[in-house]
Order: sequence, then C-alpha cells, then structure tokens
Amino acid sequence: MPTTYFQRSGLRRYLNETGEVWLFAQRFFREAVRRPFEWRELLNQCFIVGNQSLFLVGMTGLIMGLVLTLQTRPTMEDFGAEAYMPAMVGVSIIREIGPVIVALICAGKIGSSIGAELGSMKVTEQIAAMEVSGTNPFKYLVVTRILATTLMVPLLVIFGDAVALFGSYLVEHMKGDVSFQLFFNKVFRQLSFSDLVPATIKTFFFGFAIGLIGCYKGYHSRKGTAGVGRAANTAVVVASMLLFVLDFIAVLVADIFFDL
Amino acid sequence: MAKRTENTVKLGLFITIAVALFVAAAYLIGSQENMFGANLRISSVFSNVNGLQPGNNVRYSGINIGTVESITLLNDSTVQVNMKLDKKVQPYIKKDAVASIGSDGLVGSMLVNISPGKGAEPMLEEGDVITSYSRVETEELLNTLGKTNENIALISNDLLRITNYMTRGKGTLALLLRDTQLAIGLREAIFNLQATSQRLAATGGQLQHLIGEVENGSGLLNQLLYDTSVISNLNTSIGQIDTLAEKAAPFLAELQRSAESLSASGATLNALLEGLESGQGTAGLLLKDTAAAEDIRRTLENIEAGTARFNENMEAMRHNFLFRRYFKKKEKEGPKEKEAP
Repeated sequence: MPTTYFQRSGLRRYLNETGEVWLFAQRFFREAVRRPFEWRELLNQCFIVGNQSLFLVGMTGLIMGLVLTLQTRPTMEDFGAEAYMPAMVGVSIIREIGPVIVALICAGKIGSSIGAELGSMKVTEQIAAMEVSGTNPFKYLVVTRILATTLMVPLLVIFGDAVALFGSYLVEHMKGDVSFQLFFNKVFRQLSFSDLVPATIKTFFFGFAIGLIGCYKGYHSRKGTAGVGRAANTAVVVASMLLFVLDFIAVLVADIFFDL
Repeated sequence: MAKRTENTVKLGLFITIAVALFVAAAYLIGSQENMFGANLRISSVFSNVNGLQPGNNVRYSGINIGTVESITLLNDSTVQVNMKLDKKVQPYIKKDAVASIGSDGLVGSMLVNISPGKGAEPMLEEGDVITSYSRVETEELLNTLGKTNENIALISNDLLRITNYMTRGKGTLALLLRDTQLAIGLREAIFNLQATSQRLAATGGQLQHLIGEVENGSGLLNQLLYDTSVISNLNTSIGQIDTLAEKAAPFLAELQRSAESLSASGATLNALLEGLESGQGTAGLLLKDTAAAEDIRRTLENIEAGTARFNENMEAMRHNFLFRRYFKKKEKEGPKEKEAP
C-alpha cells in the first residue's frame, strides 16, 4: 500500500497518537478496577513518586515563593498596595502557579523516569517476559504508576503551595516586617473554597496526565537505546504540553461551576 | 523487606502531612467563611448592594464577624442580603443595629458593616431582619459630578462671552475698564461714600451711646422699655380714665342740655335787644329818644337847683328863733354819746 502524504504527515501521526493514548487510558480504567490489585507495588510507586520528589518540589516551591514575592513587591509598592501582597501571592500560588509549576516539575522528574523505565523494560523485553510468566505487565507496571502519580501529584502540589507561601512569607517578613500570623491571616482571608477546590481537583488530572503519558511513551517505545531516550524525552514534552491544555480546560470549567 | 517497610512509613508520613496541610488550609478558609462552628443567620434589605458578593465579610465595629451567605432579589427595587454571623457575637448585636454596605479600602472588596444601635433593644435572634442604611452610591456621585461639569461648561461659555464683550469695549464693565473719566468719577463717588459711611459710623456710635443710656439710665424711655411696673401703672391709669369717662357721660349730657337752653335764652335776649334797638317800649325810648334824654337832663338840673335852694331855706330855718333851741339841744347830746363808751 503506497503511503500518501497524509499518512506521512504530522497531523496523521498526531491523530494516531491521540487515538492510541485514548485507548491506553481506556485500558487503564478497565485494568484498574479489575482484581487482583497490586497494592504493594502501588505503595512502592507512591513512595517513589511522592517522597522522592519531595525535596525537588520543596526547593522549587520555596524559590517560587521567594521570587514571586520579590518580583511583585516593587510594583505593589508603587501602587502603595504592599498590604495586599500576601493576598495576591496567596491567590496566585494556590490557584495557578503552585499546581502548574509543581506539575511541570513532576512531569520532568516522574514522567521522564517512568518513560525511561518502561521504555528500557520494553526494549530489554522484560515486559514480554512478564506476559509469558503470567503476570499482567499492564496492571503491574502501568496501573500502579498512573494511580501513583494521580494520587501523589495533588499532595506534592499542596506541599509545594505550603512551602511557596512560606517562601513568600520570608520575603514579606524581611522587607515589610509582616508577622507570620498576619501574613497567613491575610492569605486565607482572601482565599475561598472557589480558589482551593478547583485548584486541587485539577492537580489530580495533572497527575493522571503525567503518569498516563509517561507510561504510554515507555510502553510503546521503539527498539534500541535511542528509543528509550526518545520515550523519556517525548513523555516530558507531551506531558508538559498536556498539562497546559488541561490547565486551560480546568480554568474554563471552574469558571463555569465556581463563578470565579 | 525492612527497607520496603521503611519506605512505606515514609510514604505514610508524606501523605499524612500533605492531607493535614490540605485540611488546615480548608479549615482556615472555612473559618473565614464561617463554615464551621455555630452560626447566626440574619438578613437585611437594600436597594443597591454595590457589587456585594456571597462570601464577602460582615463587620461589626470593624471586626469580621461573618460572611454574606447569599444575595437574593426580592422585587424590582429591593435586594435581600442574607448573612451568616459567628454565634459568639450574638449578645453584642442588638435588634436596632444598622447594616450598611462599604468597601475594604479604596480598591478592596465590598463588605457589610453592621453598626451598633442605641443599645436598649434586646439582642439579635436567628432570622432577624435588621434595618439598612444606603450610602451614597458611586454612580449617583458621578451623575452629580456630570451635572456639575455641564454647569461649569455653561458658566465658562458665559464667561467667555462676557470677556469677549469686555475686550471689544461693549457694555458697562468694558466702559468701566476703559473710561478713565468714569474711573475718576467712580473714585470720587467712593470717597464720598467713604465719608458718608464714616459719618454714618459716628452716628451709629452716638446711637449706640444713646441706646446705652436708654438701657442703663433711668429716663422715661428706659422705664418704658424695661420697667415692668410702668406698664401696670399705665394699665390702671387707663382703667381709671375709662371709669371717669363713663361717669362723665351723664354730666356731659346735662351740659349739652344746659347749652341748648342757654342758646334758646340767647335767642330770646337777641329778640329783646332788637326791640331795644328799634326803640320800642320804655327802655327803648330811654336809650334811643334823644329828646326824652334832654328832658330828663333838664329835669335833673331843675331838681339840683331846687335842692340847693331847699338847703338855703333849711339853713335860714336853723337860725330862726323857733327852731334854734332844737338844734342846740342836738349839738349837746352828740359829744355825751361819744364820751359814754
């Protein structure tokens, strides 16, 4: 069958990939609710995804809070509105910057590691070996990892937010002599559930997307060591892009339901 | 295996802390929105809520005591704002508290301010509707400003026209500005005015002095103005005059009558005099008839002459011997009578 331009084009590849990812996700949901559950492996993956990303997320969050406050403060001072700093920083971190930055960090760290791990297993035919030995490799490898990212990324975001707010507080305390209590009082006075709840819900989707793309890319990596590198790389790139798309959709939906 | 367990414990710790953080955040936000703990629900009715939203703070004497729960339109001109307050503040808010809508600073969000009432009322209860006070709305303010602006535009137009007239030399003001003669006249007029006013001031001083004297002195005016007893005296005097007049009335009537009869007598007298004048009757004759008067005069002369001769005769008779004795006797008796007493 001669290949047409359409078959070789990026659009066709994109559509094909999208369809494959959709099917992969469907399979995940089917396998996820089917017994037996791989609890032990799930906990292990949670540990790897959650605990082992904690330092990275904490550092990023702290610096994010420091930098955001340092950068915004002069402008707010120009308006004579430095009293609104905690409220403004709080809202921007909780609503948007915290979830997105932490999710991007996770996409870089976790997405790439999953893509590389599964890719190398695929390349070294460990996955095929598991199938032969009677273990369901999808259930053991994919379901646990996707569940782990889906559950852990929101928690990492909460940590990241908390540390970022603390970083912001450090700058405020240094520059504006704002007390700890006053700072968090102002932050939470400005916040409402319509800020916290949609922001938390969307992090589950972020985590799911990171795990899904990482697993898909690794599970379908091509032969050879180049394939593994490519799997890791595309996992991060696609997951990051998908995060922004999801974020946009999440904001639109939240706008409808929460009347932001 | 031991490492695996250790990892699980770490994972558990991580999850626990993350969840705890989330719950803490939720609680902090919830406590701001008053979602936990006992609540007191009250409402107030406004005509305009100026963009107030559910979740905005409710303040009492400047303290956040709750949030706006919901805002509903009652009809085309009234909006009901339902508020959820902390139960703890219930004893401090009375039924006559007044709600108003304000904003948190110049650019802050809207909020409901509850101001304390007079204090004597009983405390607020669940479901109470408190009175509201509408502040001046920004739109109204802008409308007023717009009107002011229009007026200013009109005024400036008029001013422009006036200044145009003036520069072109029309009208009184322009004349004032340009005519030096007029200016001199005006100056003189002002001088005169000044002098007049100085005199007036002096007069005023004198007047003041006079008033002071009236106030402090003991003259008639002062008594009239300040002495209250004068008034009562005056009153009694007037009363007495009244009674006097009443009493005098019959007397006056009598007088009138007398005058009338006098006038009648006069008329009679008149007629009599006329009769006299015309020479009628004896009196008339005496007065008017010169011939008769001549007769009477001659008669009187004759009488005089007669008495003179009679006196001579009497003297002659005294010296007559017949009567001499009698006269001597009379002369002797006279001195005796004088010595006797």
